[in-house]
Amino acid sequence: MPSATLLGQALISGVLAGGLYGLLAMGLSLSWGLLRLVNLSHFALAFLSAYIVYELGSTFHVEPWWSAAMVVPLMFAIGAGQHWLFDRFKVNELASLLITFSFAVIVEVAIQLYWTADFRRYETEYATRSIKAGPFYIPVMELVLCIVAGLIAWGTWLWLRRTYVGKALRAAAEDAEIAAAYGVDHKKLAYLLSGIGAAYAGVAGTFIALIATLAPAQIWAYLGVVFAVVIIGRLGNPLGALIAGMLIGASESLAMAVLSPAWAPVVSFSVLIVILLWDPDWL
Amino acid sequence: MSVTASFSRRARWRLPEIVFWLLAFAALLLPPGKHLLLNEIAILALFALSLDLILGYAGIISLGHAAFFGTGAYAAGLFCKLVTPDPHTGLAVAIVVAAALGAATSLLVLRGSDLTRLMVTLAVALVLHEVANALPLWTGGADGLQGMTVGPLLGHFDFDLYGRTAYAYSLVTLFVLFLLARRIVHSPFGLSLMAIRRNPLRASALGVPNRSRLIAVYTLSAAYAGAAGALLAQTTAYVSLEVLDFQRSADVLLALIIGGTGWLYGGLAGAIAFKVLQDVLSASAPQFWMFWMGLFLVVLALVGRERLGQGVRGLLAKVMP
Repeated sequence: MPSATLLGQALISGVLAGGLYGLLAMGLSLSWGLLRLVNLSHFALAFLSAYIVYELGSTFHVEPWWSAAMVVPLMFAIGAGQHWLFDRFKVNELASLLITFSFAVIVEVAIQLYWTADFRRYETEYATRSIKAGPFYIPVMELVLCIVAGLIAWGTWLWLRRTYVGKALRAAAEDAEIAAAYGVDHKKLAYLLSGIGAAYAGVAGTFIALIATLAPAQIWAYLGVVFAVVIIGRLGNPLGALIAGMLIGASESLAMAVLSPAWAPVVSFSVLIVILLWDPDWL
Repeated sequence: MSVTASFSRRARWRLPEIVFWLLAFAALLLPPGKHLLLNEIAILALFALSLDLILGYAGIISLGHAAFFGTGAYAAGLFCKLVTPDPHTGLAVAIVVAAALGAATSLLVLRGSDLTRLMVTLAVALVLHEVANALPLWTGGADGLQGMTVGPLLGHFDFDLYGRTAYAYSLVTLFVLFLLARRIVHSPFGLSLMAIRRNPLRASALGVPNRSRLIAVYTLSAAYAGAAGALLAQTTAYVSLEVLDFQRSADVLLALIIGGTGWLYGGLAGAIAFKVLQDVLSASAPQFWMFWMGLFLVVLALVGRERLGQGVRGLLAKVMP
């Protein structure tokens, strides 16, 4: 049995790493839950953002925060543009899966052509900094990520719950026709939501550039875990996505410490399967 | 005309079908050189056929069909190494093992809505991939399962380097399983599946036992996928972790979508188009193969197969009045 310090450190790293899962899951959860579109290209957009942040940072020496300020609106525009395509051709769930998969492939090819298939690492002074709290180390970058993810999740949750636009969106997701009869312009709202989802991919991408090593094929690395997080956190619920992300991150990291690193990926899917079998009413 | 007559007319063999299979068997006589590719096509076709059984006939989308393909491949590989090199028993064992996994996981898959289903199929495949990766003693881990010596076919046809025996083996297996699938989808069982796909509520009101029918077809589909995996393992005498990759599940879904779901030949046609295009395009630039594939799928999914077909026909009519 590993020591208490190791377990504690594993727990902390896991929860912090889970913040990224949660952040990636949030955008996906919104479009899946409220628009009924499964957006596989979400990961591709996140990595495209990461590469842009990397390029701006390492070639033009732009601070990552400024790059983020450029990338996030760009992603918003791409997300809204994607929705125009979905709306124009009346895309259903299966077709959305196919189309966004193809988008992801096209983005992957584009990244490969421009940045090659080599691993890229964005060298910044932020990346290696960490705080020492008692016997534990807390990496600063991932802590910032978790705080940002928490703020976004909380903000989005409040927005969906309290504001007129948020309520209209949830009403339209439940029954578009009835909502329209009450004067909800769900088409316009869908553009907004799609854009916001993609903008979250931009935020996630900025952090991916700062904490991870980039490679085009990495686009698919998060797919399974994040899908599991989306389902566990309940579709359309940003706070749930973040909590589920941290839960999965922590269990992966603990499995790594207690069993062996090879078993970590099994954990998230086993958690998912157990939850599906248990079949709680919020699923 | 009675209902029975109209259904039996639908099940009748048509000329293009017969020509298709004659051509497939005639390809055995080709000079050596293309049989390895043909073998790959036959295996992908069988895999796509198995996906069509659940997607086209029962309406279950799977993002993790490679789970059964990989299980079949590893079952055949391990059986060959540990028990007997005879390929026929190996194939049968792989089918049984994959079907057992299908029956077990069908209980999971049938829970929840369409989207949860999608997720569960993906999760099952990913879990198996990680389990195979984490058990290198059994599966060889990332190095793959090596050291298989597959025995001769029917006792005296050895698997050669050119792949003619391999192609013959895969094609005959595909043909036999295709005949079975064709018989099944035209039977009352198959018709009841289509009823479930179109309207589950009405089907159950008519007395169709939805749940047990879906479990049965999911198990059948898993058995077919297991057979395809076993063919790959036996004809290449090697099993790598790739048999369980997400990419493999995605490829088979793409092949089936290209060919069209719900008419059995969709999987076969899609497999031919997919593999031939891949072979031609990736010879020049491997990235561009994926690029064109992606672009083609976007257009296909956006415009829809019927309208695309009409558009092409309309264009042809304009060019050649």
